[in-house]
Amino acid sequence: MKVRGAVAFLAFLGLWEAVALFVGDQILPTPGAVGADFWLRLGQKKFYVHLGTSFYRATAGFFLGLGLAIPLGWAMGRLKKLDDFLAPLLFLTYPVPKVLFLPVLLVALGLGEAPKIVLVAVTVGYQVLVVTRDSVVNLDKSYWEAFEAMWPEKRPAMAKSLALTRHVLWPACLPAVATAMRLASGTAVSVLFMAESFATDLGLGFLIVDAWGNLDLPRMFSGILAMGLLGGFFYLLANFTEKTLCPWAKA
Amino acid sequence: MAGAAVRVRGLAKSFGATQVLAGLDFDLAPGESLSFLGASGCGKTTVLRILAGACPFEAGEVAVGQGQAVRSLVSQNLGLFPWKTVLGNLTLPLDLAEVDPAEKAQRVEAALSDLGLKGLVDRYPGQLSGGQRQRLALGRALVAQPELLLLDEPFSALDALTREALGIHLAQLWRRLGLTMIIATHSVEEAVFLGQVIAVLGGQPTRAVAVFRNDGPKTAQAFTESHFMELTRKVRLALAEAWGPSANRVGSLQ
Repeated sequence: MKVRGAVAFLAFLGLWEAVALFVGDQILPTPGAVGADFWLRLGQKKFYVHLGTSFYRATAGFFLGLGLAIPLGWAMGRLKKLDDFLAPLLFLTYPVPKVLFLPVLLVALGLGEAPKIVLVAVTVGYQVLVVTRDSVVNLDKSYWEAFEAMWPEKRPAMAKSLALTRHVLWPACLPAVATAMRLASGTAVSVLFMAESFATDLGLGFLIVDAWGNLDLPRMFSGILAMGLLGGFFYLLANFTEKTLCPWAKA
Repeated sequence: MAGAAVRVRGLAKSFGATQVLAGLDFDLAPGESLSFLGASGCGKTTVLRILAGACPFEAGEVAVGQGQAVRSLVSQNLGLFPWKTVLGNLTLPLDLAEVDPAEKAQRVEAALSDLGLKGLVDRYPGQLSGGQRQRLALGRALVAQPELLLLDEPFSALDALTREALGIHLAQLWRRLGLTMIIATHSVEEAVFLGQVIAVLGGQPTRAVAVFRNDGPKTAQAFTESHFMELTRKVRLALAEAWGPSANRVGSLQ
């Protein structure tokens, strides 16, 4: 596996080099040039400010999205009336690209951090909301029945909801949430790029657009590389979540 | 742990326009075992779910023990939680019932050794064989110390040998724990082996069309004894009369 990964990586670099040599460094700089520029950036404080800002926006948006979507998904899965009301709205708006909300958010929330974070949260939240709701709605009936049968009637209803969430709903939706997180990791970073290309002078998105404007291609590609790594971080986070919180899934 | 008496009078239940049960009556003494036999869809599962308190019914009277007797139902697909280990599945009913830790440890230990699950505590249900999963489901039902144990097709997914071995094991546990047990099955041999009373269900709506008693021994030898084979033959004939000659064959394929 490791050998194959290394071979694939080298093949990718080779292909990149070949295309770069063919089209010229006015269009695509070579991997060496981008690598040298990236190394240079790593020595600059400013780069870390851009990286840190993007990381903060993406992380805050990611967790805000998860934090809102998962409980709402449980509630929709469990409460028929709420679901009857929200599910049609959800499925009608689901195919709409969330990045279209960017102008709306900029008008509503101003030019600060809020619209960028909210945009990432909405993008991640939608995907997670749909799978969380579905995983509760489609939960095998025997799990509910088994839980109902075990529950001692004399204990209060509130304790029952909490126990049901902890022992059934949460673990049942985790694998699907981890998959949604993986899928959302790419889209979250791409909407962040869009959000950072307007009305800000911080973040990797700004760095890319700024370098693009100055035709500084190696710097632009350093920014692209850093944003790719940011997406990769969330992908790995989703994998880690699944491995540590769903040990039964690999059984 | 002692068995509860069960008394059912005039039990009626319908799903939509289909009347499944109309006026089902039966009695069980504490510690007795009853087998229900009948084709798929005849309402066996419904009776068990009603007795477990998991299903409302339209008319009739159902009494289990003195009021709130503890009942455990092992459903056909077991309902084990795949995200909990063997130990997690076994302790969950006790955690929910807030059983104190010392008592909990003791009951879990007893269930693990009774059902031969000791070496498997850290496994997930997905890592168990069919027979081990079945034993885990049985263990989870028993840690609650039920006065009435309800088993819905408990061994239907198993190969014949495992099925027979688990049947023998269950009979031993039932005798030792002295609990009242009702088992719904498609298998005539299983019904005769596990039930002191064997009720063949039939008709539309469902009622008990034939009732047999079997007080013979419930040990591995019983399967080859003549009274067991004779009773099996009688029950099979009653089943064929109720459901047509192919009923049991079709039933056991499902």
